[in-house]
Parts: sequence; structure tokens; C-alpha cells
Amino acid sequence: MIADVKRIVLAEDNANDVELTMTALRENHVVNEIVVVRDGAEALDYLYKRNKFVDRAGHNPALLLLDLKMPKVDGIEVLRQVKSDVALRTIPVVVLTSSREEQDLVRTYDLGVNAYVVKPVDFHEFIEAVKLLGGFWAVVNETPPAAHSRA
Amino acid sequence: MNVELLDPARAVAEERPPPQSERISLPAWHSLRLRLPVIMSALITIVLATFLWVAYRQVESALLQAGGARAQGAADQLANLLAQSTQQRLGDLERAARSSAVRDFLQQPSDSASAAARQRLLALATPGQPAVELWDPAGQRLLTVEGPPAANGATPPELPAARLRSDAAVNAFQASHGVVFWDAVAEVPVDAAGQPDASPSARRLGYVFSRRLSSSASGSEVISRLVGAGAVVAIGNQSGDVWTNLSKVIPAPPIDLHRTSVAEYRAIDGQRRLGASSLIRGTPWAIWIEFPLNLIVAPARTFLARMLIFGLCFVVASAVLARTLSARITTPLHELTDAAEAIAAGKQAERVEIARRDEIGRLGTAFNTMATRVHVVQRELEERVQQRTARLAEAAAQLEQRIGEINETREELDRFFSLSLDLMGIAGADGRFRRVNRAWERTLGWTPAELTSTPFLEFVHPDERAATASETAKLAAGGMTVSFENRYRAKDGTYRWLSWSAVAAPERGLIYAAARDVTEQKRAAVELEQRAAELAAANQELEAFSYSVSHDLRAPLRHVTGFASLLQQSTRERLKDPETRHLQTIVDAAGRMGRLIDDLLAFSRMGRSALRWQRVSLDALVRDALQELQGTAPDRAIVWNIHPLPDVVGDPAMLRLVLVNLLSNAVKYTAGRAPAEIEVGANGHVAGETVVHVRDNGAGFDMEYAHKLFGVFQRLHSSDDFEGTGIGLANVRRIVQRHGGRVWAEGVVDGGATFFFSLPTGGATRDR
Repeated sequence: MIADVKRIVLAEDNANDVELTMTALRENHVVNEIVVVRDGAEALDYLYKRNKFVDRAGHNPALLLLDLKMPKVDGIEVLRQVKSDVALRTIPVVVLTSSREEQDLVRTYDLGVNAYVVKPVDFHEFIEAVKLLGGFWAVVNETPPAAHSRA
Repeated sequence: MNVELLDPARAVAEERPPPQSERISLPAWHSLRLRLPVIMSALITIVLATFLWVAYRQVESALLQAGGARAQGAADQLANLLAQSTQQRLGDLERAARSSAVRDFLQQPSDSASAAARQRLLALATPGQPAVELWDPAGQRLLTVEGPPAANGATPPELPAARLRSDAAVNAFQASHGVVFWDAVAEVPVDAAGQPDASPSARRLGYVFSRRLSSSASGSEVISRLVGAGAVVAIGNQSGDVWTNLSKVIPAPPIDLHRTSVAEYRAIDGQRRLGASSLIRGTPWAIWIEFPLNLIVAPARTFLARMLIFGLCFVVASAVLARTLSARITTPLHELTDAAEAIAAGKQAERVEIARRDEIGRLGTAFNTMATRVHVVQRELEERVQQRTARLAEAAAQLEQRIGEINETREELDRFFSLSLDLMGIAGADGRFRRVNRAWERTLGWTPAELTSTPFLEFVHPDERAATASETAKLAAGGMTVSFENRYRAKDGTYRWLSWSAVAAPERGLIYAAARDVTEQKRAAVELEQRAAELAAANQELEAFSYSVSHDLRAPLRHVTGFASLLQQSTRERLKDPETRHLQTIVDAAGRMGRLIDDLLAFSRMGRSALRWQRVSLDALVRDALQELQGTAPDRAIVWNIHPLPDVVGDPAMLRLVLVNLLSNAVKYTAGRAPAEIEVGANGHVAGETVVHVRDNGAGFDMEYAHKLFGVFQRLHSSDDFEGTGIGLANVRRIVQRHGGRVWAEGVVDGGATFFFSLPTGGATRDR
């Protein structure tokens, strides 16, 4: 546990975005293990260790980066389930989205999102944003011990 | 005048003639002058009559007592006389019975003895009376001695044979054929030696028997004469079986002879009589003497007659006296009455002259005082009546004026009633209209007669009848109806929607109702609703559209810039100059595209999000906007000329956006000026709106294209000269329009531009 590098889960359906995000994280020297899931259903499977993640090891991830528009189960629904589950609600969730829509902002904050980041069109700005995110949530932030004792 | 207005007919009937002609005419009977003597005479008469009656009764009673005593006395006297004569007769008989002649004859009957006995008994015989007889002890007649013939030659009547009765010497009266008679017997007692013996144990040798008649034709008169005129004397047995008035047989007196002596009774002839009885000693007889009652009370009658004459004279005399007295009292009263009537008739009060010192005199004086006072009071009263009359007239005039005003008001109301475009009506408790205005006929086609003759519920659409009935009931109970709607049948069979306002006057059982034909509004409202629904649907679509634009349109752009940027990084050293520039163009174009999308989405949101109205200080907003612009042009020399701005009502965030847009435009288009001059000012509140302007000395524009300034993506300058998306002014116009204001601009090419926007004062027109 002591040497355990905190794991980041990225829920993103678009391959381009996955690549850009991964690049941005790398650019910022984020060394955490990054697990990519391609839709909301897969994200939930991972968190609950179901289906293809039934045998995964380890605890809750240190950070969940969540896109809103995803096939099957959208980001809002994933957020709702995570924040309404006692065992999962301590996972920091950062919404990463193209949308600037006010309704999305309001809904996600209502559900208890930890941060809401609009992906800028400009790539350099995006890298800056990811840098801040990764630095704070994945490295600095300490989650309560209860979250680790699960699993 | 005191007239109670109960009902007109009665009031008229009770109306009296005015006091001037009021004069009390006294009926003769009510006059004291006549009444006093009559009453006094009547009183005296009553007293006198009572006195006379009592006196008469007293005298009569005394007379009756005296009469009774007299009758009793006479009866006692006669009874004594009769007792004596009877005793004498019995003594005669006994002496004859004890005579030797009779005894000898009875002991030794011989002719000589018979002659001697006959001689002796002859002394007992009386003319006109039956014979004296001598009987043996068994009662057999031995000897009969007739008396001498009567003076008038009458012979004694035939009487039944006597029988021996040893119990009495004098027997009771007997009657036979209208003749009353009595028997007496004397014993002939001897002892054993044949000598006379008076002892009770003596033997009876025989009996001397005598019979006497008690009635004769003249007997009654003789005795009556003895007792007194009008008197009747009767004698008879105490047992009451045989009685005679000494001439014939009469009924016994109607009293118990042993108990009562004096009695008053009514005889068979109807006459009242007073009689007295007395028992006759030594005999079983009694005597009765009676007088006619009127004979006895005659002196009382005489007394009464005399007293009546005297009383009459007394009554007449006192009546005359009373008449004189009453005249003395009533004459001054008449004078007073005349004077009082004169005052009552409204004449000048006159004084009465009564020179007397008694009560009448005092009355006269008091009357004179009163007459003077009445005169004074009358004058005061007249003055007061005049004042009151004047006041009444004034009040009546005011009342008339008020009535006139009320009539005027009513006419006005009537005019409005008939003019009104709304349907007005007054309904009664029976559910029918009493009165409707002309608007009904204009709207529904029904005539007032048709509307008032049918219950209004029948005009109401069946679906709303129940609701209408309950609304009417609520109204009748004192409620109020506002905006109640129902459908009314028109004459052509169609239905019109009516919206009702109504109020009831429960105490009068009336409902006042006004209705407006809202059929068109209803239809419009339905249409509006449909439109709103359509609009909402369109809006929703738009929202979904902009949502997906926001997400999906930006993602590829981001990828373009993202990967182009990565390419720039990785190929920086290898690429030649034009290739680097092309790559940069790709990045820039994608970036501008992203800004365009952002602006377009913001513009779209601007039209949809709700305004938050509040009081806003434009001064504060301008300060805010300037702060935001501070960093955009750090190396520019700009002279800001900011005038004080008023407060307005609006959405602060949006108005801030307006100012930011206009100010940043001004900064942008004065790029070539040194120094740039930008002025912000307002005209205050004029004509209900506040006009704010932003003036610059920048590039200006051609007024020919001024109308294009505020369109979306409309630009008057190339983006090479001035960068921008063409959304800013469109946003300004949309925000200002949503606040109910206007935007316009004035400009000269290279001569600067002025942008105006107006806001309604107080935010009069709200968000639409």
C-alpha cells in the first residue's frame, strides 16, 4: 500500500480524446497508473469489479476522469451511482467535457462532482488544465482511509 | 293638529274641523243645570220612599199585633162564656138525674112516676131544641120529653139516634145534614139501698140525655155583632172534625188548635185573615175568631196615603230649591265656558266678570289669569310655528333637489345600462331575469321578453348548468362571483362563452350580474396555448440542438487543434517555413471556429435564459466592464469620458454584457487613434425611458449599412482589420429588446460612431 501509486480511471468513448488526454497527462509527468474505460457501463463494471473487471486487484481509484456524453450509460448516470454509493462516494470525480452548457454544470454539481472542466479547443490550454487536475487530485489529494479498506 | 297617518282612509275619516269652528254643544241631559235638581229630587224621593215603606211596615206590624191580641181576647172571653153555659147545662142535667122523681120512675115505673119524671125533665126542654130523653142503664130509651114548639114554628130536624157513651158528660159536636149538634149525658147513681150516691163505686140506675143544636140561621150574626164588625166566629171540636160558624158547617181553622192560638192565613176566597183560637174548658171544643186582614191594617194604609202626599210636596219643593241652586252655580260656569270657547276659537281672550268670593269667584280669577297667559303663549306659539314652517320648507326644497339629483343619477345609470357592450341583468330569486340590457340582444339574439320569461339556467350549456346553479346558490347566500364562465345558447343555436361578475342583494332577493362575451378571447387563448406548446417544443428541440452542437461540434475542432499542436511540437525542427505557417493556420482557424461556436451558443442561451429583474446601478456596471477590459489593450492611450448614469431595472448580468460589448467594440474600433476618446453618458429619464450612449472617435461606419450592424455574423469591417465573430452587437440588441428597449447607432466612416440603447423607466415592459 505504501508503494502503491494511485490509479486514475479515465472514462472516455472518443479515441482521439483518450489520446489527447493521455498525452496531456504524460506531458505533465503524471506517473499514476491510468485505466481507460470506453463507456459508462464499463466504468461502473470497473468500480464494482463486475464482468471483465471481476478479477481486478486493488482498491478504489484515486481519481475518476469522466466524460459526460458516452454510449450505453452516460457520465451523469455514472456520477449519480458513484456519489450515492457509500463505498464509492469518496472517489474524487472530475468531469471532463466539451460542453459549456449550464444545465450540465448544475446537474453535476447537484450530484456532488468534485470538479468540472470544459475541455478547451486550444490544446495548450488543455494541457494546463490537465496539469492542474492531475497535480491536485491524483498526487496531492488524500482520500479517506475507509475508501481503501473496501475490496 | 295631531293626525296619525295609519292609513289614508282612516286619516281622512279622523280629520277634525279646525279649532275655529270647534264648539262643544251640550245635550240637555248633560247640563248641570238640569242634572243637579233631577239628581237631588231622585235622591230625596228614594230616601223618602224608603222611610215611608219602613214606617208603613212598622205601623202594619203593630196593627197586626194589636189585631191578634184583640182576636185572642175575644176568643178567650167567648170560650169562658161557652164553658160557663155548658157547665150550667150539664149541672141542670145532673140535678135532674139526681132528682127523686127521675130515680123513683127508674126504680118503680108507674104512670104517676112517669108523669112526675116527665114534669121534672120538662124543665130541661127548650123550644126549637130536640127532646130530653131518659135511658135505662143499657141505653134503652124509657121516656122522651119534647119541649114547647119554637116561636117561628120550626120543628127540630131529624137527627140520628144517640148511643150510650159512658166516657164523657159533654160530647163532641156532630154534624148531620148540615146541622151541627152536641149531646150531654148525666148519670143516675144509687147505692145498694137505692139511695142517691155520688161515690165512684155507685151503681147506674139510668141516664138523662140531652141534645142541643149549635147552628141556627141567625147564630153567626148574633155572635159577630158581639165581637165586632167583619169578625167571624167559629166553634168546633178540638180534634178538628166538625166546625160551625153557628149557622152552617165550615172547614176547621187551618191551625193546630193545641199549639197555636194566633194565626194569619189566606182564605179560600183569597182574602187574608187574622184569627185566634181558644180551647173551651170542660169540653172537647174550641172557639176561633178571625178578622179580615185589610180591616186590621186599614189605618196603616190611611197613614201611608197621607205621608205620600206630604212626601210629594217635599220632593217638589226640594226640586225647585235645587234648580235655583244649580242655576246659581252653572250661570257663571256658562259664562266661563263661553269665554273659554271664544279663546279656543282663536278670538282675543276676554275677561269674565264674576264678583263672588266663593270657589266660583276664584275660578273666574284663575280663568282671567289663564286667558292672559294663553294669549301670550299663543303668540309665542304662532311665532314658533312660523319658524318651523320656514325650516320645513327649506328641508323640503333640499329634499326635492336631492330627489332631482337621484333621478338624474338613475337616468345616467339607465343610459349606461342600455349603452353597455357587456351583458347586464338583474335576476330574481326565481331564477329568471327581471331586467336585461340591449347588449343581450346584440350578443345572443334573444329579445328581453324571451330572456325574462324563461329561467336563465335553460339558456346555459348542459355541461355548465350544475356549476351555474351552485354559483347562483353561492351568490344568493351572500357570496360574490368574479370571472365565472359558462356558455349561453344564442338564438341561432350556437353557444357563446360568457364571463360573469355578479353580486347579490339577498335582502331584496336580487342578483346583479354583468357578463362579457369572451368567446373570441377563449378561442384566442386556446390558440395561444397551442402556439405556446409549439414554441415550447421548438425551444426544446433548439435546446437539444445547441446541446449537441456544444458537445459534438467542439470535439472535432479540439481534435484538430490538439493533433495539429502535437504535430507542431514534434515537427518543429523539420518543417519549412510555409509548412509551419499552414499548420499554424489550421490551429488558428480551428480556434476561431471554436470561438464562433461558443459565441453562437452564448447568443442562443441569451434568448432562452430567464431575466432576473432588479434595480441596477449603471455606474457600477460601467466600472465593472471597464475593469474587465483593462487587460485587453494595455498599450493603448484611451481617454475615458464617463458621465454619471442613472439606476435602471433589469438583469444585471445581461446589462453588464451589453456594456462590455459596447465598450470593447469602442476600444476595438479606435485601435488606430491616438489618443482614442470614448464617452459614456445618459439622458436621464425622458419620456419613460433611459437612453444610454457610447461614443468613440474610431473607425465609424457607413450609415447606409447601419441596419446590418446588429445582425448575427454581420460585420461592416473585415476581420483582417478588426477581429471579431459578429455576434456581439446581435447579443446587445437581443438583451436590450428583452428588456423592452431599443438599440440604434449613428456613425461616419472614419468619423467615429455612437451606439445608443434605451431601457424603459422602471422596467415597465417585462420579459416576453
